Amino acid sequence: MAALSLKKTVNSGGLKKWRRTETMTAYGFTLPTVILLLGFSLGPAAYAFFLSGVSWNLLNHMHWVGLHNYGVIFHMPLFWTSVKNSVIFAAVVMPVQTVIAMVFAVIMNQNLPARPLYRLAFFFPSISSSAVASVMFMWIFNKLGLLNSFLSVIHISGPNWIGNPHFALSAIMILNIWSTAGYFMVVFLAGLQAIPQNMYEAAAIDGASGFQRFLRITVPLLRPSTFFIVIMGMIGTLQMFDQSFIISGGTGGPLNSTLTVSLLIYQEIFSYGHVGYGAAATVFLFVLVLGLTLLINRWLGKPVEY
Amino acid sequence: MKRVKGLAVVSLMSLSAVALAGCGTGAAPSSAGSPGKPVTIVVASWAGTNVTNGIIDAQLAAFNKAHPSIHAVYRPISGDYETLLKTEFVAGDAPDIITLNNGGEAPTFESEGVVVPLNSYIAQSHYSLGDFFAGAMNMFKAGNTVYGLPRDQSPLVLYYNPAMFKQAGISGPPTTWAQMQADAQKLTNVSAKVYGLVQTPQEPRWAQFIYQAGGSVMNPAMTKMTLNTPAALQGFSYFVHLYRMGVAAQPSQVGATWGGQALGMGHAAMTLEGAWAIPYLQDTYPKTPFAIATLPRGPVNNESLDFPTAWAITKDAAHPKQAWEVIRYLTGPGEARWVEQGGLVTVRKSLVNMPYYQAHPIYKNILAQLPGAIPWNFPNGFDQYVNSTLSNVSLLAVEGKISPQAALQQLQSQGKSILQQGGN
Repeated sequence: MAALSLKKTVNSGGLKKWRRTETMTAYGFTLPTVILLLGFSLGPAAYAFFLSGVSWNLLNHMHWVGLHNYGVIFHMPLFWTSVKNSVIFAAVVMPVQTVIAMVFAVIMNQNLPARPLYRLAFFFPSISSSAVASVMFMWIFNKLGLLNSFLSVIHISGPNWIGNPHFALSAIMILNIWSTAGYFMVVFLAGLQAIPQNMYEAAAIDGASGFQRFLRITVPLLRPSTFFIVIMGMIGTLQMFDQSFIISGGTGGPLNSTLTVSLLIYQEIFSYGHVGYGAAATVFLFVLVLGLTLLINRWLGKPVEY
Repeated sequence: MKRVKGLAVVSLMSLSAVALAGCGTGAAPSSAGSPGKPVTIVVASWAGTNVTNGIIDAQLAAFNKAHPSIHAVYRPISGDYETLLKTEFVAGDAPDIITLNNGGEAPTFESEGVVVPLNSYIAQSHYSLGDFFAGAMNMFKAGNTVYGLPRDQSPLVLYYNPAMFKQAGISGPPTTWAQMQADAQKLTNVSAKVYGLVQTPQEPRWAQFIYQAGGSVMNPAMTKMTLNTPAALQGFSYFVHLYRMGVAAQPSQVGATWGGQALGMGHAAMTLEGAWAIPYLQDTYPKTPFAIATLPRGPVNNESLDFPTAWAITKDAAHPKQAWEVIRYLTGPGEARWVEQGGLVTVRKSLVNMPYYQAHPIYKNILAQLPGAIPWNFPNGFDQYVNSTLSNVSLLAVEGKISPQAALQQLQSQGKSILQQGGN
């Protein structure tokens, strides 16, 4: 039947027509995804742009105020506190988790005994729920918790991790690195499989040490994976919400030290009824992420050729 | 088969009985649709303890039995209660009945018109409001408009660990500020991680000291901030001083999240909480002894704060008449059940002598603290102030980064500017 219809279309001389049906079929197949994307992702994103220009507290009638909301948030100290927290968070977590993931991936790529077991152990945090991990780490970071008990063994009096404004964000950084490094390790592992073995053999014959081979072959050739991980890591860390929300009980405390941009957006919109401010902060976050992504793209996005 | 038929006959009979009774009172569920198809009324509250959830379930089951034309179901909301409700109000499918909380949530919902006035229903069914404690009742009124009928309440009281007191050679709970401070000092043992008082430095745990010194947070009409008085400073300074002396601590310093937990864990000799800590301590820390006393007396009095909640009908209720019947039951016969089953403290003056309270003397001092307790409330527009400003500024003072005076000045001026902007 298929052969018959093919023959028919070719016979009618319509290669063009055949192409068109092909295109229509392709659109038909992508339609469900396109609808989902428009309805649940792009649509709401566009709506956020619209909301950034209104005054609305969820329960009353909205009215248009133009760029007023941007003026308000740019003069709001709390907004800049949240931007600072998010940027510091991303600046620490993203590089650290990338390096850890890469090192672990290289180690896991060796012929170690019980290798699958280690891979499982490192990957496990990323399949466990972020909320559960946060609750678990609250227990670890408790003033009288696991971490401080370990520290007291080596005679260090541990701080009040979650209650002290100087340590709370660091505590969330540790939690975030722990939970995401394993996932990125798997991405690096896949990247490692794609590096041709003969390069290592050639380098070994030339007398390169193990460390040199890592630095000159592994790191550069992992660039596509690194690019992906840096971009995803940056977006994920700049948008960090859940862990802050759970550990601070939704307040971003103590003293706003764990208030990230996403948490501020949530608070402004849902807790304080300032939908416009929250939406304006959302647009700001979008611009920030877009700008940084373009920068990273220029830096890491080029293909590597040897 | 026979039994099913019998049941059907009985339920039909009871249905018609209700329909007849309805005709008599004039509050007939005429909008209820065809008989045999009960109207569903969704009753929502924050997911409380197993105790409160169980009580509400039992109350509604009893109501449904007596009112076959209405089917009331309980929907506990876990997580961020008010936030979730707001999103449901936007979508227009909020529950028919919600619980209004203290601390400024009621004025916000009232002024946005998402809960409906109950005056006409109250008048129609000759419902008397006189039996409710005035503090609890007034919190859910705006002028003469009633938006909610009280469900439960609890004043702040002093929880203490009698074993620790005995060990320190203290005969009983403190009755004055000076005694509380001296006792806290005796009971504090920093190396053992035990503090005289463990308490989150948030306003609903220190405002009572201001009232006890003769001051107030706002004027009774909630139109003016009054934190700039000497009495307010005296009350707040007393609280801050306990932390600066090192005899009071924040829960996180002893690995707890709130005062009640710290007491249960044995890291606190005293804490200030409401009646909600009783079932928590009994269930979670059965080995830790605790007792309850009225608050120690300040320079002027020993007034406490009160935390009432209320039932209200939302704008999204399709059958407000039936919803009112549910509220009428919950605040009437249901309120008695509430007490019988050990819920929080009753909001009806006539119920304070219920046998349950006689059999459970732990409630004695809680009931004794009720008269004069100040309902904890804020006007519309204070969401952020209540949720973060108050705790942040208190924390700075407690940690010694700013003086109590500077803290109160900040709170006074920020509250003032919210009032000047007229809410939002």
